Amino acid sequence: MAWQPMTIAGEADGIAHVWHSAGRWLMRDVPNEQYYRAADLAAIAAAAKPGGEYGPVGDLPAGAATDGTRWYVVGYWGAARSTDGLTGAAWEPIASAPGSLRVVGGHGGTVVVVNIGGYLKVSTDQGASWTDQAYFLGAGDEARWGITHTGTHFAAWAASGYLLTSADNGVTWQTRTPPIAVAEFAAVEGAWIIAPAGAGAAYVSTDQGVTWSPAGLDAGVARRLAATGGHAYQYEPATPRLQRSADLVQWEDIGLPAASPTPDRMVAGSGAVVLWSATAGTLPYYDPEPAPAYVQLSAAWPVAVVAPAGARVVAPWRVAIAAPRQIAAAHPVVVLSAATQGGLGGTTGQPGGWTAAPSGQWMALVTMGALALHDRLVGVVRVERAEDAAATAEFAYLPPAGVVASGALLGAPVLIQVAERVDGAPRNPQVLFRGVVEQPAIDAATGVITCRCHDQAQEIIARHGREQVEQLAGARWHAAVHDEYEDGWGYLEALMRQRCASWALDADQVPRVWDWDPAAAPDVALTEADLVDGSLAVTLPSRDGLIDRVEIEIQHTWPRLRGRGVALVYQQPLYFFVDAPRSREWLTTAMVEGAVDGVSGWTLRRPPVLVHPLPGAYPLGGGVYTISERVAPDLCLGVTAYYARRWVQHRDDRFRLVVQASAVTTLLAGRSTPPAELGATVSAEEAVPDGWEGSIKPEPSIAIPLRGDVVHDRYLPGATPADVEIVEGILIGEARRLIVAPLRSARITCAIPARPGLRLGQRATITTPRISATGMLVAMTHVLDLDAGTALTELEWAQFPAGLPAGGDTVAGAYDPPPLPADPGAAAEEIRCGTYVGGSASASAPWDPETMVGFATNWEPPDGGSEVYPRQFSVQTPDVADADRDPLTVERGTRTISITPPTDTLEILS
Amino acid sequence: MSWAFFEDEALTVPAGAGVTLVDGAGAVDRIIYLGDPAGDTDLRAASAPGIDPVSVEIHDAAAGTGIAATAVRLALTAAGLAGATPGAALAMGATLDGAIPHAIHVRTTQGALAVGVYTDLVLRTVPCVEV
Repeated sequence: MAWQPMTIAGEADGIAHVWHSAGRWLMRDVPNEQYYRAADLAAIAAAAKPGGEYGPVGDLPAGAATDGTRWYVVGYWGAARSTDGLTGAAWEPIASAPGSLRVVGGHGGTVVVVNIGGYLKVSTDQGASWTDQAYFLGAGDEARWGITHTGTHFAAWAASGYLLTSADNGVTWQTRTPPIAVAEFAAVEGAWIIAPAGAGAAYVSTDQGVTWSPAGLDAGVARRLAATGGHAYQYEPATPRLQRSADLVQWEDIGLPAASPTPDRMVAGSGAVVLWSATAGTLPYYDPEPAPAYVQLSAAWPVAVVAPAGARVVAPWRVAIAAPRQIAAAHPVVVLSAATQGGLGGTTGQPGGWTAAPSGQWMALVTMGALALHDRLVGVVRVERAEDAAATAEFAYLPPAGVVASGALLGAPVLIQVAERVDGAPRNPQVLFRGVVEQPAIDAATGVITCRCHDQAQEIIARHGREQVEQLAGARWHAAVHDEYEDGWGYLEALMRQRCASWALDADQVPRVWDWDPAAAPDVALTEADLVDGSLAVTLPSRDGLIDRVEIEIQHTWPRLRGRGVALVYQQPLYFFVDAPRSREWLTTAMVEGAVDGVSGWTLRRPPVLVHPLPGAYPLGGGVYTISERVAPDLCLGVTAYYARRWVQHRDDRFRLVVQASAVTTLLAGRSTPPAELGATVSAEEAVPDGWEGSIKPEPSIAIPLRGDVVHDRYLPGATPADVEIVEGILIGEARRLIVAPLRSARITCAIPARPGLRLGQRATITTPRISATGMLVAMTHVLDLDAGTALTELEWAQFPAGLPAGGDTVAGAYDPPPLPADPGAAAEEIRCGTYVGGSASASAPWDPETMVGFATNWEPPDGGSEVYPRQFSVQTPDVADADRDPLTVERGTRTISITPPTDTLEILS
Repeated sequence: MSWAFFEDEALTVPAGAGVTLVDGAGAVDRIIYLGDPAGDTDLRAASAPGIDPVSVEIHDAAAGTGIAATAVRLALTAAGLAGATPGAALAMGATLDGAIPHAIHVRTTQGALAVGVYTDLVLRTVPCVEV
């Protein structure tokens, strides 16, 4: 639809008032006092005046509304109501109605009126009786007073600086104090908007008038407000501009009628908007379905014309010519006779035989670089392997005649094997060692060169990256426990401290890690027949170095970013200052501004809102108290200001862990050993930049409420509660190793025919006529004695103490924190600002500047001989309590982890 | 050319140890690593650098004698070995980053091989360039 000029046959005077209520329209012309009524604006019909020649309400009806059942009009003479329901063609006076009424509103059977004195009266029986309700001082243009029902609330305004609202259909009323004198009001779902009579800012409230914020509309123009069909309309006659909004945030333009003169008034209802001017001879325009003005979609299409530059866009075009090649690695496959693997434990093969060489004929194979040395070896070829260490080897050979390039020996790759000798040739070669020559030596007398070698364990592990080492060790790193390590070697050593495990390279130089797990199934069974005669020896465990208890302290420190919002709300009614028979000295704008701007330690969050009295003439003691427009801004009824401050409080949580092994305590047999101690502090660098506490703007931001406290635990990476759990796990692992490692002091040593296939970490059962034991292989030495003709492997088995009780770990205690000190919040921390009135001989206490913080004023004139206070306005802000600022230390309790050490078996057989 | 096969993940020990099987004891799995110890070049197939994949093939230097290429399977993961085709080449990707080692899982099976030492197999890439 579009704007329609209203056509009313015979009407030539123009329309002065347009009212809408309950889907009905009522219009009044002046000076002929012709009234028109309609439910449809397109079908306006002339109607009889509501009563006699001038109507029951006189010649100046000021307002009209319905209660949903009938019309009511009000004026200086009282009120009238329609007798034909909502038709409005027949009227009667309401005899009981109060006089001097200026505005009327209705909803759901309730009628609300306001008289010239600003008293609000309510009738719920169609005007038969009236009940006085709230009171506000009316002011300004009475034609701009109003009452409306938003669908949930009654709202009444009288240009006084107050807004009266009722959420229960007029039974009870609340006084709101919007920042302006309300002359225009409109409501949509969830939001209200108000505007002053003249040019000025409009304000929006989303909490039914309790608080208001600028609407974001042009503050330099006057406007009319109305609402219908879920939209609010704001009309700026001077611009002119008509806009509508469903949320009072986004406004869209509505086209205007080509009317002359420009309409200056607006009413909306039943989805339609009516614009009109009270100028004689003009009729309203209406748009039954206002739609947004013509919308033109556009997109910027910038075209840049630039002068050609001398430079060119250049990209390097590197050309590399590489000779392709195939990267290759030999993949020799050795298939060993199964006989090389059997023979131990009497289960298969040849008990006690030369398991490395089933035929009993063996030979040592040593390759250094490309040089095969097996025909030149002399003496003993020895290979030593031990857990947590590099493997070493040593061999000697007689070099062929000629120049010895000693430099070629250093770092030369070495492969040592033992093989079966068959017809002078090697068969079933098994690897004993791979590595490099670390240091050669030459016997000047014989020319024999001796090479000491290692398996490059440190070099290989050092080249491992962090992830590779963590994966290898099966352990975690944390800055609170560990240092930064230059390479994988130091890193592995550090991580292994939290594992009951060992590492070494295997014969192929691949790093391995294995657990000290006595529960694992044995890999090897040794019997008396497997052992070299007289080689078996047993060393029982020692109490030296035993630890039965490790105490762990973990400290977790982090900053708590704290914020507090407080409000200064000071308000006095007008009659506090304008009263009879005497008044009180005024609060001035200068006094308030001086006090609110100088609040030390607190940041003013937004400009304070000062409430000034409205200029006007107020009835006072039979006379009139006048506040001129010039003076009103210098006087102050009250102020609302919001402040905030931020500070950092450090919190320090302390966790205590005890890892203990009662089995070890038993082994110590009463010997007192101090507990080992471990500890870590999980913390991060300072969390806020300099100056963060002195302002509320620098990041990191925290959402400070208008009133109240906020506490934000600022956990930085590396210092979160999850990090505490990681650190706890690491330290428990280290504690466990501290307790368990000394228990492996028992050793079983023996020698067997050379056995290249054995690996460190393998478990064995060793059974002889005298003992039966279990253990883990922690070291072995292959000794190939070319002179004696023996090829042996010397074994060292570690054993946990036998006979310890079995069972799993148990955990007692918890980290449940004790109750923290309650944050006091802002409830007890409001800004102090009271009211103290001097000049009363009977009621004014002696002046005390220390306790009388707030507005100090005096009765005017003061009683003779009374205490007269210095007129001033001061505020006292709260300080942050020490408990809120001082570091907060919380003891989180103690957990006790009882561990069960591993155990092996050792039986003496009879 | 600094790219090579290595025994260890740290790219320290040049590969060449091969594998030792025990007669009748079943296949043995190992991992070797293809990488650049200097870590400053990428490896691409020379046929179409960056497009064709760098493949690792099992070359039998004495076809018809000794051990056959089908005794070996290659895969990028341990789980992939079961489904790998015996003797088939392994596609590693069009561009191999020299900053990381590239693991190759190798399964060697005895099959009908007698006890002995077999040296005719070589693991090698297709012709490649380092860029």
